[in-house]
Amino acid sequence: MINPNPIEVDREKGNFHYNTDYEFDAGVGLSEDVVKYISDVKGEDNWIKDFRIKALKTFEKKRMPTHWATKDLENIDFDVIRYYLSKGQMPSRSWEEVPDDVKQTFERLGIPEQERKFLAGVEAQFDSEAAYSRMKDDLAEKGVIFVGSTEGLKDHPEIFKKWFGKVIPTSDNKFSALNSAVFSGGSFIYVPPGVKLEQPLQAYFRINAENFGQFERTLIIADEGAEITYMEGCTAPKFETSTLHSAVVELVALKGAKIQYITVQNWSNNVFNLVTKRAMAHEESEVRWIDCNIGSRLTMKYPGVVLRGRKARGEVLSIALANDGQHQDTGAKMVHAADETSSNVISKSVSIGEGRSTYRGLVQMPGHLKQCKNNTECDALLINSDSQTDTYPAITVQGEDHSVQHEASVSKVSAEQIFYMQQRGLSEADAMSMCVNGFVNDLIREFPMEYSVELKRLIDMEMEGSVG
Amino acid sequence: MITEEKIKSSDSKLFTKEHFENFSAQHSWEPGWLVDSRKESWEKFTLIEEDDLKNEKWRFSPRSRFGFSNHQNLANSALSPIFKYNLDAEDIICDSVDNILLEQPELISSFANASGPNLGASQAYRLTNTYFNNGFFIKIPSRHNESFRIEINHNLPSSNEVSFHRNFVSLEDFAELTLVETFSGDKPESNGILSNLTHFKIGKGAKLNRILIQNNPDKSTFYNLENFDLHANSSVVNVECYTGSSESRIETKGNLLEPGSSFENFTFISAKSEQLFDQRTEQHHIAPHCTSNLLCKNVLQDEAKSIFSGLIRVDPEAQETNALQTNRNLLLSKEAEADSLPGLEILANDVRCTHGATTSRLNQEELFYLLSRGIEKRSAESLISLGFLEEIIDKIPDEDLATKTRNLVCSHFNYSSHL
Repeated sequence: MINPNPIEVDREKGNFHYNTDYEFDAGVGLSEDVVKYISDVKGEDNWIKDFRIKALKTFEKKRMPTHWATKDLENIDFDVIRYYLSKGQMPSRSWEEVPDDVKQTFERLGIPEQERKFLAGVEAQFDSEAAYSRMKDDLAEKGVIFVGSTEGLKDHPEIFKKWFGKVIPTSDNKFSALNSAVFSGGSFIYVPPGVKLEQPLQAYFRINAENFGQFERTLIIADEGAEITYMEGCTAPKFETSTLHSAVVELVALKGAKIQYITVQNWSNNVFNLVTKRAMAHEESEVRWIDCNIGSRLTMKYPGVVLRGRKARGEVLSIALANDGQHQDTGAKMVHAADETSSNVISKSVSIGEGRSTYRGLVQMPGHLKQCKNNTECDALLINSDSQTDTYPAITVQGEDHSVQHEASVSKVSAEQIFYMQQRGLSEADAMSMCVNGFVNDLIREFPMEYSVELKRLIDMEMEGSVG
Repeated sequence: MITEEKIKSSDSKLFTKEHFENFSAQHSWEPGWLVDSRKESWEKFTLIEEDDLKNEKWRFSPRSRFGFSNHQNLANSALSPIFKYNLDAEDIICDSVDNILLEQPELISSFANASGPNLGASQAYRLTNTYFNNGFFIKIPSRHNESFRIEINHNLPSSNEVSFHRNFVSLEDFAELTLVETFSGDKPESNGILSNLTHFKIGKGAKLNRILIQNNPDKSTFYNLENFDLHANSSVVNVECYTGSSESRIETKGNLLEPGSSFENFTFISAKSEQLFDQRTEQHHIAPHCTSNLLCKNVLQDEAKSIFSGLIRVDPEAQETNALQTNRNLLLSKEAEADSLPGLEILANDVRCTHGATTSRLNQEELFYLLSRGIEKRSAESLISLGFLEEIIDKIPDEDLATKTRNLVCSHFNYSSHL
């Protein structure tokens, strides 16, 4: 018989939490007062406060997108969620200053080790605010800015105000509106022209409190010719009640810039992960989303690239693993808005047990453009007879000068492959595990070296007694 | 992406209660089950909410073009459909729904609760069930396993008129049939609407070969809703060619109800000027060991627009399913638009399902090759397009019909072929 669960994903690593006293607490439920409280606590300018209040109204007006998305969204109770919890406003610059309980949390997750090893900078967010934020000194000298959203808007409005909320408007969807109203934390990064970061910057997002909603907001601007790799990791302890994570991530790649954004999402199975991510790619720039979804109860995430400069390039590489009680609803959006732009989407999903994975894609090419190209491949692997997978791409092409191809396939591990390996003395479970690994490995190879370290740390794909 | 244009349902007289009551009064002679069924459909029609009209099933579609607003009258049922066949067997039934209702209404009663494809055109579906005033009925009994051929022509109504056809095809176990349906109109200026709903019931081991050629008048509107129910080891090969009408909404659903059945659906659309083709399909695998294949090729010129939305749906019980779906679009102009929504919903694990969608322009090398041999551009385009569509035309078993279809495509390029 086939092992019901050939892939063992290490979900337990993040499953712990410490009782923490919070200095700032916006209480339970959402109202205009909560939004004002958050804004006041942060000491924000009036324009941000107005922005938040307007966003709250938009959020209330928008309906749940259940006419196309899963009905599970209706189980989110916005009135029991705590929208803001923090111990203080400013992140510590040195690890020693970080409060003990928070330090303990991140040490258990291996944050400072990671930093020493290969990172150019780290930010660790604990519930609503960053607890720790540090970047190598030489980068600051070059003019790189790597701060939290609160700091970014306060200290560098001339840089961030210009792009804040421009890539993803408040009214983009219900959850981007929610984020715009109550956002806190996240990273604001600016890389000056021509500066190429050799090592990645990393942010670590941690939910610690029960019934908490994390709404971080990230804005990355890579100026002309700049290059940056950003990685984020997410964990939360397992609570009985559901937790909401709703981030907005905006990337701006100016002329010739390169941004690589890597996510390893390993939320516990009670987290609704409803994230809006989009990049604006200017002339000859390149944006690459690498997305790995392992955790959460429901993830809805469709990283997008608006290709608005000539020869811009967008790419989404996505791996999703859906186990029992999980729905990984992921995908990609490629909006071509300039000549000679190209985009590539590769998505692989594995559904195990009663897990469900969904791919939703969007490709748009208007008629007045010349020579746009898109390639989309999505492959799904089904392990058990209760596993489920869906694919819903939407492709709009106008004009005779473009080329688009989309291909999707759904299969299970073939009996012949298993038989072949059994012939060579592998148990059926091992054989299955190898096949699954092979299926995903294709894509993992595309990931940068540092990343595969991180990935391997989080996904421990069990290959007991594997060959050689 | 869903169009926000509101459909003013009050615009057509057909939508008024008064009209329905008049219609019912005129049809009071009909058997009770039919009167009930019309009434039920009417009630369901009135319950369709605006919200329903804006859902995913109409994504990318300019809904305002599919209204009934200028159409006040039902067309005279005597003009369509017209039959052409040569049957010597007496127990084969093939007649207009009008006649069947007069003579053997019980035949149709078995279809009273037959469902439609239900892929979004709920307004047209409910109206057709409410007002249908003609259509055809075919029943091939099981002992006829030699293949019969039946040809039927549907005639588009005159301007401002609507025809609702409801058709029934029943193949009993092991029966075989080749059904050729053509849609055309004798009034080239007509802006009439034809809403055509067909139920196919394919018995065990039965084989249906169906060819549909739609060459409607330029300004007309066409709804074609069809539902195929396939029983054990039956097979359907369905070939559809669309060249006419200003706007067409096509819904095709194949239900693979019992093991061993096979559903193949081949469609091409050749569109020019401002034609709109909105095609929705579903291959629903309910039983294990079934296969389905869909290939849809579209050639678009000028400002034409096509929407292909296909779904392969595999139920948890339908193990060992083999399902394919391919959509290929060829765009010949800057303004032409092709939207593609190929979908998969897989709930069984032992399956092989793939879908592919591509959209591109003419192969420039092929075009150059032809041009360099002195063939003018227009002819070269038409030749390459014809070659592109040949994969579908090739599935038409009858050479005369195939030639007719090729000529229809060529006429879209203002280029008369002598194939």
